[in-house]
Parts: sequence; structure tokens; C-alpha cells
Amino acid sequence: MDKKKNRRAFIKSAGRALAGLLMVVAIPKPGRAQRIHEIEIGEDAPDWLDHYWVYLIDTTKCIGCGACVRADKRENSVPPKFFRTWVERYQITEDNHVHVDSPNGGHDGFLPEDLAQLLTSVELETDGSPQGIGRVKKQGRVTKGFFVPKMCNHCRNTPCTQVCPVNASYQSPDGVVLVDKTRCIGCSYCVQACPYGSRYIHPEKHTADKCTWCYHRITKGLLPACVTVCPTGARKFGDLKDQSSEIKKLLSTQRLNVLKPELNTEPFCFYIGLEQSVR
Amino acid sequence: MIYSEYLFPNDMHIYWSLMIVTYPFITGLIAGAFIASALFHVFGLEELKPISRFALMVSLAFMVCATLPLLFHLGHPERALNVVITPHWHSAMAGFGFIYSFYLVVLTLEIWLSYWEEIVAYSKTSASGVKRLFWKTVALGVDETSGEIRQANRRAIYILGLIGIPSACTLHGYVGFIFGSLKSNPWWSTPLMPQVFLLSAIVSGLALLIVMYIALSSKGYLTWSFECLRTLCFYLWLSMLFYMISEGLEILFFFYESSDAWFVISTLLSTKLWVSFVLIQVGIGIVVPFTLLSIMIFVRNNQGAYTTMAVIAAATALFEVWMMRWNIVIGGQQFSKSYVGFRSYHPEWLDQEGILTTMGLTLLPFLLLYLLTRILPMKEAVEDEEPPAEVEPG
Amino acid sequence: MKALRHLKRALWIIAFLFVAGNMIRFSVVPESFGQYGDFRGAHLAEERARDPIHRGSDICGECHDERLEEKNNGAHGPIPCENCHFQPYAGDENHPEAHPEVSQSPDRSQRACLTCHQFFPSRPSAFPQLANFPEHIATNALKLNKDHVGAHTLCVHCHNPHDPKIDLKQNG
Ligand code: SF4
Ligand code: SF4
Repeated sequence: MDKKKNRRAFIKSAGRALAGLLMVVAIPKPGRAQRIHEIEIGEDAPDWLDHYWVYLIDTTKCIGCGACVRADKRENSVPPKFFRTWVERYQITEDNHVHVDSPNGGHDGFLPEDLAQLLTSVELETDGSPQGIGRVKKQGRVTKGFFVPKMCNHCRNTPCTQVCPVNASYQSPDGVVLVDKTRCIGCSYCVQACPYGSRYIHPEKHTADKCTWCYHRITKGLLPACVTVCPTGARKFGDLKDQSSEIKKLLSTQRLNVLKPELNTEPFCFYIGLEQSVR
Repeated sequence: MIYSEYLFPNDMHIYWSLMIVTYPFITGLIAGAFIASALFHVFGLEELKPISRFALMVSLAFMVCATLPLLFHLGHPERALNVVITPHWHSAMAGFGFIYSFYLVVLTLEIWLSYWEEIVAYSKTSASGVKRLFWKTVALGVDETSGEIRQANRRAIYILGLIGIPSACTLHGYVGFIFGSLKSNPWWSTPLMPQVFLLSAIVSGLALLIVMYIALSSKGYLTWSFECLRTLCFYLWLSMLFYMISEGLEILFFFYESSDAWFVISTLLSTKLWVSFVLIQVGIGIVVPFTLLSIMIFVRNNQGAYTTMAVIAAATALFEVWMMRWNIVIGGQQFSKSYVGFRSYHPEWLDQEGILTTMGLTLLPFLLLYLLTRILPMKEAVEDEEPPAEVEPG
Repeated sequence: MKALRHLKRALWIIAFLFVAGNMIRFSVVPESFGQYGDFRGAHLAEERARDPIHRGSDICGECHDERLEEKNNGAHGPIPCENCHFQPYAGDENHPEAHPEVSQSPDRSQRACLTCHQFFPSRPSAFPQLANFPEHIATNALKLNKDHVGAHTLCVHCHNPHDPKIDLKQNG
């Protein structure tokens, strides 16, 4: 076991050395995880060294009301048509068609544009059953459906900070992936590198922008805005270093999954009840 | 499972635009032209002598312009130097500043040394004092052209060429690495990417040289030599062959492995990229020049026909490489990261990253090249003892 | 060796440029860079400095304690006041002094309620939802409040949003 570990460590460091050589003048830097523990906590230790944040989404509880998306837009002044968090609706029909949509990121809920029609007409695309709205046009009955809230996963092995040429995107010591807007050159390499579509270039600031887990709230003892407003408790947030926290208990007892696990990005946003068809 | 079309809400935009198509294209021309001159200086391919110095100049002209598309693309061009101030060593893009400046130094030195005799001559014979002073500064105050110096120069050029080949390969391979190392994007993520970029760079560089050589030597600016053209065309054929194999392998593996990636790529190829990749890039860009170049290997005596074919082959090859940049850069962004949604890209004419800017930036190196040729002669170094004093600098 | 004079000079110039360039490069690295890792350490504090906008229900309770208690005891207890009382769409200026971003009169339309309570097959089945809104009005609303029955019936005509449950036996 130990031998295997050693070997893996060796391969890792060899890889890093090779990458370093390629980069002409690279000074080998210790890995991220190491750095976090090596930091000396002095007298005036900032509190971000005392925490390690983690996020948990229970898809079985999400009702797709979009309160989180609205709260996020207000809290973080997210520009229109861009999203730091969004909610997807999945509808899988009998014939195995997967219908995914997220109109305006779920910001206005999932009611059809023409609400009046929904309110006055009894036979909306129906076949007479009271669940008329449960049919997707021409595709047959929906047999399985759920909502999936999405956001930046604050990956541990993060592809987005890996590619940032100027160290503007980075992972904070307490595990939040942030963008330093005063250093970002707006190359959008990180936008390309994120496999989850969590990033965008701010249309006015011309820098990369993304979910920060409401860093200005969590470092003051509040919850992220989206967690605060979620009416069903589908979104959970907490501190891994707090041994008695609810999230710690949930993480150790529930069956978890992450998005695109095959990419080995090690997301720190976990899901309960994630269906395999989720993209 | 069959998915309905779905794009992630943030995936509505194409961030890497025409500028990022232009950038690897221009960078590719540098590497290609440089390798052509290295074939002469390092590997002693005497046939290429008429073009060896001119190729270096082409390299320099494109090198100076290579960063411009990037600057136009950045959201904050004024912060561009952050790339060298606080570089992130895990990022492929961070190496750019260093590789680029290193290569620029190597190239400038090599040009400086290959024009040594002219430079010294100008510093003595130029008409006006200002010009003499300028050339003296360029010559760093040295004014000797003895046989000893010539030999030293020749050796230095050899060494520089030797250093230059791997750095040209790095410069271009790393552009491929930028794309190839992104696991988020199945159309880019393949270890063959650096190789494909490097080989296509050589293709485009050689093709450009062929076109320019034929044009300029017909007007007498360069010394005409059929053998020189033949050699260029042969190497174009060779690099094209390797390039085709790499690109073909890439698609073949995607197809055969038939993973998630192929699901996206097959849809891409049959819809968004059907015209630009399958019909134009492969159908015209690869088939036409490769067929012509293969035929040309057997054309030995008919110089006129050979030259015509060479022009067509080189021009289509250049076009092919541009299309390849387009299909990789734009094609790779025409699907959402959900892998089940697709989007279109329509460049604007007047946009900061639009069509006019692209045309301007592509033509700029040629303007620069023209200015360079006004200062320094295009033709190869004269071997005899007499300094070429009759060439009056512009 | 005289032959190498120009090469030596060139090398000196390159060496000078290299050293000077690097000196400039290092001198403009932001001060706190590297404090906690490969990034500008001061950014953590800058990111933290912003003021939170969503303050939670307790702040509302300081003035509207009865309302808060009513809500907390009802089925809508877990929902913070801000969910409905934040201006759902910008432009509402009903609560100007104390907390400008909060509006006193929230969206009272059917849309506001149906955002959560319209039936969708994607919604967890245990969650209370209406499959057929007009039918709901036809069967239930009639019993409660005949005046309001019609296309313009609002949910809030019968349901108190702070405590939405209706005991039909008691009211009917
Ligand atoms: S989800 Fe995307 S933006 Fe967030 S940490 Fe992972 S790769 Fe980066
Ligand atoms: S857009 Fe900004 S944060 Fe993203 S990789 Fe470029 S410099 Fe880094």
C-alpha cells in the first residue's frame, strides 16, 4: 500500500518536474493541499484558515422554484443572461428521451411564458388526465422527473485555476475558488477549462466571474444567499472543520455523487439523488 | 438515451473568436518559415540557399505581429504583462511570454548575424551621418568583416539555428497544448493536438514561402532556382503527409473509442462543421494540395507546369491551415459543455475581434516585411570578397 | 578572439536586458502575492469586505415580530421573509428608509404562488402542488369566498401567505 503511494507520489512529482522543465524557468511549487496545512497560523490568523467549506445539494428536495437564482442575482449583482447558479429541469419520458431545460436559468421558475393559458384552460396538451401538463409535446408521458440546481463545484483538482496564466483564479485556503478581478486579464481560458459551464466573462468588467459561495457572507458567519432562501432545504452548506456540523453528518451518512466524476475534478459540491442522465 | 437540445445557461457565448483563429495561424507561419531556413543553416540543404535569409525575415515580420491578436482578444489588454509578472506555472498559457521572448531573441540574433556584412558595409558607406550612426549602433561599434569573423558568425548561426528548431517546435507545440490539455472539451482534448499544430504550422510556413518565392523571384527580387522550389515543395508534401496522418488518427480514435466525445464530435461533424471541416478543410484544403504535390514529385522538366501547380497547391494548403485553425478554435466552442446543445458563431465585420480586424492583422506582417526589405536586402549573402556596397539602404 | 567582439557585446546586451527585465518584473509583483499561496493574498480580505444583502428574517422581526411569529409557526415557516418581500422584479420602492431593497407589498399574483405550487412531474411528489388550477378554484374557492371566483381569483384571497393552511371544515 505504502509502496503504491510512494510510487504515485513519485510519478506525480516527476510529472510536475517535467511540466516545470517545459515551462523553461519553473520553480517547483508544493501542491495545493500541502500548502494549506503548511501555512503558519499566527496571532492575527485570519479566520479563513479555520474553515474548510463544503456544499451539498439534495436533488430529491428541490422543487425548482428558482428562489436561489433570484437571490443570487440580487446578492451578487449577476449580469442579466449570466448565472452563478441555475436550476435545470429534467423530464425523462417513457421512450427514454431526456428533456432538459433551464429557461433563464430557472430565474423565473418553470411556468410557461403564457401563464394566462395555464390558468384558464383546463385541457393544456392533455389527454384528459388531470396531469395534462406532465406531457412533453409529442414525446409521451414523463415517467421520471427532477430538478438539478447547479453552480460552481469549487473543485479540489480544479481545471479552471490550473490554466489561469496570471494566478487571478485561485483556491482560497478555506477551499473556495475565487477570481481576483484586479489581476484577471480576461483571456477566458478558465471559461474554456471549466467542464460545468460555471464561469462567464462579465460583460462590463471584462473579467472572469463565477460563484464565490458568497465569500463575503460565509466569512462573516452567514450562509450563502442561495442556501438561505431555499424553502425546502435542498441546498446545504457547512464547514468540514466543524466536527458537529450538520453537513459533516450528512456527508458521512448519505450516498453521494458529484457531477462528471470521470473528469476527476474532485468537486466539493456533492449531490444526493443525482440521476445518471444528468449532464 | 436521447437528449433534447440543451445548452448550459452560461454557454451561449463564443469567447475565443476570430482573434484566436488568427493567432495560431500567424504563429504557425513563424515556425514554418524558421524551419525552412534551419534546413539550410543547420542541415546544410544547399538548394534552399536563395530563400534562407528571406525566410528569417518572414519569420521576424510575423513574430512581431503574433501577439497583436491576443491583445485584441483580451478583456484587459493593459494587464497583459501580468502573464510574466505573476505567471502561473501550471498554466500552458503562462509560458507564452517566456517562450516568445526567448524565441524573439534567437531570431533577432540570427538575422543580425546573417546580415552582418551588409550592416557593416552600411555603417561605412551610407550617405547621411544619421544613417551611418544607426548602422554603427546596429553593428555595436564593430566594423570588421574579416574571414575570421565570418567563420565565427557562421558557427554562431549554426548554433542559433540548432537552438531555434526546438524553440520553434515548443512555441508551436505549446499552442496545441493550450487546446489539447483541456479535458473539458472533447474536440480539443487529445495528446495529438500539439503535434497537429506543429505540423500544420510547418505546412503553412512552407506554403507561404513557396507562394512568396515564386512571386518575388519572378520579379527578380529573389534568385530563381528550380531546385529550391522543388525542395520546398517536397518538404511541404512531407509535412502535409505527417499532418494528415495525425489529424486522421485523431478522428479515427474518437470514432473507434466511441465514447462520450464521439457523440459530440459526430454531431458536430455532421452539422456545424459539415461544410467548414468535411467539405472545405478536408475536401478542398487537404485533397487538392496533397494530390498536386504528389503529382509534382514526378514532374521533372516542365518548369512552367510545375510552378503553376506549386502556386495552387501552396495557396490551398495555406487556406487549409487557416480553416483548420477555424475548425478547431470555433468548432470546439460550438457545443455546450452539456455535450447536447450546439450554438453558432457569426463574426461581425466591425467588431473589435471582427472580420476587418482579422484582415488587418493578417496583412500587417506583410507590410512589416515590406519595410524590412527596404532596409535589408532579400537576396542571399554574396559569397565573394567584395562588400555589397552598391546596395543603397532605403 | 577579436573576431568574437561583436558577439560578446550582443551577449552583454542580452544579459543586461534579462537582468533588468527580471528586476522590473519582480518589483511590480503585488505585495501580498504568495502570502497564502499562488495568489494576491489581500484579495481574500477584499472579497470578504462586501456587505451582505440578504439579512435573514430575524432583522424583519425586530419591527414586525407578530408577522414573523405567524409565519414561523405556519407551513411557510422555513421560507425567509426576503423570498417574497424582496422586490421580485426591480422597480418597487415601498420600503425606502430602513431597507430600501425590501418591498412591503410583494408580488401577489398567481404566478408568485404557482412558481412553487404548480404541478410539474419534476417536483418531488410529497410537495403540495396543484395539477389543475382552475379546477382547484372551482371546487374549493367557491366554498370559501364566492365574491372572488373567476379568472381573477388570486390565491391570497383565500390563503394567508404567512400561514397558508386553511381548515375547510372550520371555514366552510
Ligand atoms: S466548477 Fe468550474 S469554475 Fe468551479 S471550480 Fe470546478 S472547474 Fe472551476
Ligand atoms: S479569464 Fe482571468 S481568471 Fe480566467 S484564466 Fe484568464 S486571467 Fe485567469
